[in-house]
Amino acid sequence: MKTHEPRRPRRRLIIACLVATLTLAAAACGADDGDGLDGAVDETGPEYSDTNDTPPGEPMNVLDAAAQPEGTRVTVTGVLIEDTGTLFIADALAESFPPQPGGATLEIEDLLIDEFDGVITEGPIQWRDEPATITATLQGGLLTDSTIIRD
Amino acid sequence: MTVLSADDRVSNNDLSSDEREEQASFVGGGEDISPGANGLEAIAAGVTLGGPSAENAAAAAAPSTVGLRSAVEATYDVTSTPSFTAESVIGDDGRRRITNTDAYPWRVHASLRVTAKDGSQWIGTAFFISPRVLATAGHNLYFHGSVAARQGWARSIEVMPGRNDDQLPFGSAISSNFGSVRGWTEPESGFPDPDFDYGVIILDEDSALGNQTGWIGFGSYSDTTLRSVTANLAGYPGDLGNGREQWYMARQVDSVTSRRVFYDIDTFGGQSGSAVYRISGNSRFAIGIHAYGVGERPLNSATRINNPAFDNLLAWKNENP
Repeated sequence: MKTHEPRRPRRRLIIACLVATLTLAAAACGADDGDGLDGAVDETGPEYSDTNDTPPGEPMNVLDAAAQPEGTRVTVTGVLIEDTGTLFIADALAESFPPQPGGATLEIEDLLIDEFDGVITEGPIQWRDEPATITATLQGGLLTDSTIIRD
Repeated sequence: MTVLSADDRVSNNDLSSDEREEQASFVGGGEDISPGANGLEAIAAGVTLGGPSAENAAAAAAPSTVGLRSAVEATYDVTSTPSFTAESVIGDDGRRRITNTDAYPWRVHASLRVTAKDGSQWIGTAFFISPRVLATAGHNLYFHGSVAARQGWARSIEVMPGRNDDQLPFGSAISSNFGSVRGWTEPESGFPDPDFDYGVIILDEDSALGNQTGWIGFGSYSDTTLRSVTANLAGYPGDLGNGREQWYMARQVDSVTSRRVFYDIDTFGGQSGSAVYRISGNSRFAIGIHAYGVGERPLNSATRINNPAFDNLLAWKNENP
């Protein structure tokens, strides 16, 4: 199967950085509670509470992220599409033209699509050609306090 | 008590609410292109891609010569060619332009200009499955998404079969009669569900353009069969010709789920609603309806014509002769 050949090295580098970050995070957690887990969802409360400097776990899709309890820090991967100034992350890109968010979709409250590479613009709609990964807090059905993990 | 199912059909006129094949029909006379070898269409002439084309750029900016504005121009007043990097073009772009779009089977594929409830306009693709019924993606018919004024059934759709730039060899027809399934219009999860992203456009009796174009068949096939077939896809992308040119590509199916078919055929926005079809003998049978570019998987995908979808398409076809 053909792939986006020119982008692979960059993607590998970013993934490597992410893995390294997660490893450090897990080590830090281990010092606290000894379980060595990254603590994406903890019924006793969000392990990473209101900080956004520690990835809470493996990336999940938007559908799974949307199902998390309010206030959970989530790392979510999806396609980005901005419609009339509102940015969304979605599980798929519906290929009308311009495209539409497809599948599960969450609004990202505090990021702009211009902060990402490879943005395509058509009228009031902007989108990206590859998935992105962000960490954010699920709040009121929105993603907020967001950090870009993988552009 | 009636149990509602995601496969239940719904219509914008009804707001309250084992392997099988349906045959294709070559009608209308004219040129009939026989299939080529290995499940592919035989393309005698076409345009291959060698990077951004000055010809395409000029076409994108050119006003229509027949008084028909392109959907892009009509929608967003595009005066310059957008800088596209095709998000669903996997590796090198393998699409080829079809220019003899008045020949069968190319003429069964229609460029769509969709007018949403809020007046915004969108490009899509559909294909005839009978004289006045076209199958397409559900998101060309019923909008979800962020803009409240847009949500719901499209206001109208202009159907332009066999469009080739500004040439409309079979004219066009405008419809406001659509059908989809509850799984698309009222998804249980609250999110639009790609598994149910399909529906139909029903033309008026006096606009049965399928009697001139013919139509392709459709079939519900086993996983094993689908994994072995070559998927053909022709549609009207936004990045090549701004929805005014028909482009084709074929590849073997990569994988399937019970409701999706995945492949690495290159596509772009505007090609949603294209037939993803197999060639069997001299006949073409849709196996899916293209709807999504790359997402979680690095593959493009169609809504699979499984048994419930087959039954629904057949019902729409039979109820609208």
